[in-house]
Amino acid sequence: MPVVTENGVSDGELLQRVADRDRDAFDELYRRYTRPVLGLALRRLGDRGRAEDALQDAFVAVWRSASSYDPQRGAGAAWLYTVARNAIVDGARRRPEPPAETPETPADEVGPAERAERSWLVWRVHRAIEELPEPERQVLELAYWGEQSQSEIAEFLHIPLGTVKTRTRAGLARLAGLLEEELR
Amino acid sequence: MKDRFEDLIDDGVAIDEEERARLRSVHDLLLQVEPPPEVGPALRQPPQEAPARLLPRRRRAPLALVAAAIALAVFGGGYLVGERSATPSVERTIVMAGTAEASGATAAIELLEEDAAGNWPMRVRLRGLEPSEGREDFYELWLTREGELAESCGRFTVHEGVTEVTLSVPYRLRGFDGWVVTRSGSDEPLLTT
Repeated sequence: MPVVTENGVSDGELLQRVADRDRDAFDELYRRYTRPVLGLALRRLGDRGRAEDALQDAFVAVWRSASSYDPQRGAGAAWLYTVARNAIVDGARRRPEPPAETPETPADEVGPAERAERSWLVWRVHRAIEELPEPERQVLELAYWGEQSQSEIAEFLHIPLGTVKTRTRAGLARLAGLLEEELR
Repeated sequence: MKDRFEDLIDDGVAIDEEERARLRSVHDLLLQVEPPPEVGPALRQPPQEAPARLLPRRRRAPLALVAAAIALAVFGGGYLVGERSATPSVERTIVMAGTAEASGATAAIELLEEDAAGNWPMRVRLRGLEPSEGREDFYELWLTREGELAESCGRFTVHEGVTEVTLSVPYRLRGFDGWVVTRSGSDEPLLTT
């Protein structure tokens, strides 16, 4: 798992600075992890409003407990994932969904271990997407999640088709590096 | 016929089999994972539980300008031309997708750096919406709060192909949680985040 990001500061270093009450480091961590944490909360809670509350809770927990992060015991992303997941679960207990709004959910047939593994994988992919340079992130999101063809993306972004292809390939290659462990 | 993966990576540069397999595995992974959620404007700033400084660093320099703008607004209006760079940087790109009423439509909002007067300029590119039939047949971009249309960001007409419009809003984006595009005469969302 890569620990150093494009601006040269790892998540672990940022967490250590947050432990020293460095607000800039906290803002940077928030920027990096907003979407992955919100995605995690949405998958857990299934409700946008509750997920947004949980996102706030998760980052408050990160701020409060950053001093417990020990770089010897693992990467910053894994620590942050654990803290965020715990905060989301705790928040869900404190603010249970009103019975009247309980959605009907299909039976979950996978076991806890598989769910946890899947959750971590999705977290890592979302985080890796966040790490991409904006032009690469944009074409990959439009290609994979906007279901646009490359010609449509080129027209949409006002860039040549060749540029779309170059950015797509570069983005995939960068993701492969960022997700090296997950792809083994 | 080439499959989609081959088409995606075919940028005219030769690729060896090892690299192809590596990219293929990422491609397959992306197909399995749902997109990360868009982060609404309300969530762009971290929670203030931490001892907050008054303003993020990048906004410290024009602080005097902001204060002057507020003073002008409070004491009778007027305009303040802030110190803006010629090409403001893109803070975030927000991708919008068509609802069932506009399936296939897409939009991207490029939220530019907040200007010195506190306005948020944005470039909006849309495709796949039904072209407007005249000036009265317009589309409207809205900020939403708790699922309701809250504030309009502006109206625009749409033509065939890609339509690009530039808008600017004075709202504090923290107070909102999403974006929606509607068509004149209806509150039905056609594009959402």
